[in-house]
Amino acid sequence: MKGLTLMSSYDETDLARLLTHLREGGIGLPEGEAHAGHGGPGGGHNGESTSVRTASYRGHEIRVETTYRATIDGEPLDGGLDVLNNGAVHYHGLPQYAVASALDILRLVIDHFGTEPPARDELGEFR
Amino acid sequence: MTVTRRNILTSDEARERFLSGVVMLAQEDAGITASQAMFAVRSRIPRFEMFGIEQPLTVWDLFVLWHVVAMTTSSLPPGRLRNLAHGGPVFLPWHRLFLIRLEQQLQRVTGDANTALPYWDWAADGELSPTEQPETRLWKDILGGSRGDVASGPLAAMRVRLFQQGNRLWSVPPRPLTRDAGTDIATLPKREDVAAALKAHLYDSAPWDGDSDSGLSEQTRGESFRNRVEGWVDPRTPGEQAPPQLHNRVHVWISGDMAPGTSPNDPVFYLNHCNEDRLWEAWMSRNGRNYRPGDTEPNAPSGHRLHDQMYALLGESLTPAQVLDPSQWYEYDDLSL
Repeated sequence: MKGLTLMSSYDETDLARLLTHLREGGIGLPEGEAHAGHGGPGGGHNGESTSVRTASYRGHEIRVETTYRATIDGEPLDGGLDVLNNGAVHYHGLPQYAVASALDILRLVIDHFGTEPPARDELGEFR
Repeated sequence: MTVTRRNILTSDEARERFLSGVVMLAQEDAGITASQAMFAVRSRIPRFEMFGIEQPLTVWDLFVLWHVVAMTTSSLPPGRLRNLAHGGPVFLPWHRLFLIRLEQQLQRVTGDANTALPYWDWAADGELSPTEQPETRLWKDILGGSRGDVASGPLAAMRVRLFQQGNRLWSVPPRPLTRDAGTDIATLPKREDVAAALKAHLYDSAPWDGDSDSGLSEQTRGESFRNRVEGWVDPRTPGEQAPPQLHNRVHVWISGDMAPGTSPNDPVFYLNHCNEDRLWEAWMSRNGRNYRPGDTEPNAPSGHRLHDQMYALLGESLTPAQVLDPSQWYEYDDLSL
């Protein structure tokens, strides 16, 4: 494999050992449960995301289901929105962010990602 | 061998070793291309996709890929904001594993077994005024600037090849790192935020996700040191969900390449998480090496329990139990806050 710089004193941490599990797609996945795509209940498909918030209050069970259908220039938002219990909105593509409204999130999406793909898609032929 | 992790601002030696190793890893051909990496991951996670150009990836890029895959893979039962590395109890141990593997690669590529990750005590900078915070020596003299493309210093040699745009991971034409500090949020966390997070006596609580310790319902009133330092609740007012705080706030404050799931592109990712890890050590020095949930806890999420294997794309996997005591790998020079 290219790029190897094996040093006898670092046998336990050499690059080849590091890459062993990459070739297998990684290890430690929960058996039969893990799946790709930003997780969480909100999901996100074709710009539509649904969040469910629940709470118990004075012996009553409260349930609030929120569905967003978000577009930018008419195109569905790629990825899901989620509502936190305090009403802040989270977008899976900006994983540390949660802001006051979905409009604010979409402004951030435009600021950070624009609306054009960042590269020509040559990998499409491999998918 | 145990190394000592030091403050990047106070140890010239630690800083130079780190920066030197980072640039070497960022230029070292890993011997795998973007399409090969995509197929490797898809062999275990069938729906995983990559977009963009075919190109060779570096060892540094593979850590970016590892983070994205973990971040975009769910565990069961579903939890708000939770994946195999974030939004749940495994947040701290998974990043400890991630940092250990990167540190080992720094040691290999520099040929120096004493190379250690440094930490950035961002709460110290949080005490400065909002205008001073992006103008400190860390940014001006060490990391190549807090706003715009990184075009000076050793990190000017780094190139971003993997970039997460929205929900999609792209292989992009190599470009410089970029930052936009203080734009998305004005200030870094403060010392009082850290002190408040350390007051939690429990490592984590049900529902084991971004709602833990939010106190907004009877089910979310248990303390969660993890959720306070990850930053989904306000550590100063437990019971209130007011993100972004602590770890999350540092990402949001730096912005640019620190914003999407490909944030390990920027070496400051490791400075942030090394400080998070130091805070975890400080918490354990007060509360013992305790972790929740145990293996039989009802409704505990898969991949987050004490003896679950953590997702590892590179190197051997470990369990949270195996990393609770990091003394076989490293120690911190200072746990004061």
